Amino acid sequence: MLNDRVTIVSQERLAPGIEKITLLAPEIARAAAPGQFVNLYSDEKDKLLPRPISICEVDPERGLLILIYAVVGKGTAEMAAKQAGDTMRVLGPLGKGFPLEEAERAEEVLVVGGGLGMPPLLYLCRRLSELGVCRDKLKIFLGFRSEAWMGEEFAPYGTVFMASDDGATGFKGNAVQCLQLHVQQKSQNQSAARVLYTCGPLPMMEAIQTAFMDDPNMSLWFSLEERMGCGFGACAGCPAQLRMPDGSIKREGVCKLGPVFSGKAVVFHE
Amino acid sequence: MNKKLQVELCGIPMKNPLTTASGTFNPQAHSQFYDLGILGAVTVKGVADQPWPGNPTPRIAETYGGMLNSVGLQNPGADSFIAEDIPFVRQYDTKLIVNLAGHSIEEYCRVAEKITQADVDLLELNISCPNIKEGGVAFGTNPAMAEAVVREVKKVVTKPLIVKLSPNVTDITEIAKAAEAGGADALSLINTLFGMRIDVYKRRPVLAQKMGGFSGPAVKPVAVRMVYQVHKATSLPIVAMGGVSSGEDVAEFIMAGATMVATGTLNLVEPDCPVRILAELEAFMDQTGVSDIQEIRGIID
Ligand SMILES: Cc1cc2nc3c(=O)[nH]c(=O)nc-3n(C[C@H](O)[C@H](O)[C@H](O)COP(=O)(O)OP(=O)(O)OC[C@H]3O[C@@H](n4cnc5c(N)ncnc54)[C@H](O)[C@@H]3O)c2cc1C
Ligand SMILES: Cc1cc2nc3c(=O)[nH]c(=O)nc-3n(C[C@H](O)[C@H](O)[C@H](O)COP(=O)(O)O)c2cc1C
Ligand code: FES
Repeated sequence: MLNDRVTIVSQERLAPGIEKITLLAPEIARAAAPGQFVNLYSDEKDKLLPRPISICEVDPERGLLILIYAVVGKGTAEMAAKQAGDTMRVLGPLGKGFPLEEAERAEEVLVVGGGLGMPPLLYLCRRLSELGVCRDKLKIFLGFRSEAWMGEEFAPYGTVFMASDDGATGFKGNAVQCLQLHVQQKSQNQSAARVLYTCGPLPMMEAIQTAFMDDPNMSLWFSLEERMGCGFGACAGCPAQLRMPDGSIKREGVCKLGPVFSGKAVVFHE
Repeated sequence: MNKKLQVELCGIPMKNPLTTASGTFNPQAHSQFYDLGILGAVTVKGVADQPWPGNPTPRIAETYGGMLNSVGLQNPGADSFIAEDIPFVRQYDTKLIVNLAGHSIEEYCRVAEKITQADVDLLELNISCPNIKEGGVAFGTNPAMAEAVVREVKKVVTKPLIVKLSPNVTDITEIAKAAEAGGADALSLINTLFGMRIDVYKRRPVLAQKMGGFSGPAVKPVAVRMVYQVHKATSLPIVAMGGVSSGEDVAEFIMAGATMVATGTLNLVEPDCPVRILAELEAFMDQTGVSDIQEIRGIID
């Protein structure tokens, strides 16, 4: 695990308030699995806590780590002000990431991303493709508010369906509506084993859970967010609530045992 | 220069005065970052007789130079702790302090009885957690209740008992004296200050529990003041914590009267901070001509 300062190779604005940052972090680039995240730290002592950001892509050969983040507060504003050559402290890779075994056996793999949940799905799709999930098995649904700020990167790995709230990009509606349309129209063989990976806003993941909860052939994997005190399993600050087969509720740390959990087990409301 | 960092706490020798504050340190998690054997002692999270689920999320909020937490002493219970955590810590050449949680005198006694029989060095009684409704801080803010719980727990333990004090009182020396009267072998302070944050855009508290424990570098002056007052008011050894982030901070608490000093919130944001802090403490001793760390203990009038 890397716990050190790294150098920023480049930073690029993808859309207003959405930044893509490339860091020289060979140790993380080599070790990271899709769905894992890193902690970024402020240089100012008034902002102590980590900013967890998902790994969007890695280039192990060149030692590069790529992150995409939204500027939503003081910490991300400080990051956005940094330039190539500047350094920042990074810890990672953290968490466990997406389980991939089921995808190799599945008839169809569905990947659904909403907003800032999209970036980590890029590395996921590349890895799935490398594991032999062919292009026509992989369906990728991306939901934007308005204009798209990523999407083409996914095209080599599967069929990409885009949606936007205002209709500026692709289907008018959200990624789940777009997904449901596809599932109803295209999937003739409803009994085939399918896997769905998703990361995005809570209402989106809740809608997916509601839609597929009772489908025994569909397994769901949700990547969750929680406020973090440490990011590596030391503070008990970040539990997800999971319903066990016997009906009891179990708490597991999002940072260490997540951020990806079985989507059918996730409890959204206490 | 040959420096002596060894200290003794309740008759137990420690290789140096540095330990970790309960709840901010997890042996398995932190051992990924450094050799836990560099610490004088490790102090592990609060453990109760039975598993506790803890509070709803968000449990964590950032504040200027610190944080709020409302974890609520989530823990897997004494049996799981004894089976899994103790053997793990025992792989390292360091002492083990176990923090005890409860809602009532009976619960405190039950967990103390279990843990005192396990392979641990000292016990730390947490009567000061602001994040649970009953027990915890109620014992820590009322001198008569503090004395009573310490007296009862003392009856069932065979290991030295440290009593952890709450800063959320008007006069901390009253509670310190009550714990001493109840038979405490040492005191630790401070636990978190009771705090709150409101998200002004969402017009609601940041923590699900509304209020929580405030810790981190921002609280250090309050902690130094309280360690100083308690050192003057009792004759018990003190384990100090509250915002420690450098070797100089460790020296500051020792000058205020502490025997040992713990890193807390900093363990969460700089997981290997004890390595740096110990090096800084040694550099401070070299620079100021301190050959034995005990020379500076409690030197402030
Ligand atoms: C596992 C994980 C992966 C993430 N991946 C991404 C990503 O790839 N891209 C992206 O844009 N964002 C991601 N986030 C959200 C990102 O961490 C927050 O947007 C960011 O921390 C906000 O920091 P700030 O200082 O700008 O905001 P502030 O509101 O000033 O932050 C104050 C505190 O709240 C915390 N915080 C605020 N929002 C969140 C949030 N949504 N989740 C967790 N903590 C938060 C901050 O870390 C900080 O401690 C991820 C969160 C988690 C938990
Ligand atoms: C996330 C978190 C969890 C904590 N859990 C406990 C606990 O279980 N028992 C306890 O006695 N103190 C607990 N504390 C208090 C710390 O041990 C320490 O007394 C306090 O944080 C002050 O030190 P600091 O400012 O260096 O963090 C906790 C603090 C934090 C931040
Ligand atoms: S953030 Fe500390 S345990 Fe998960």
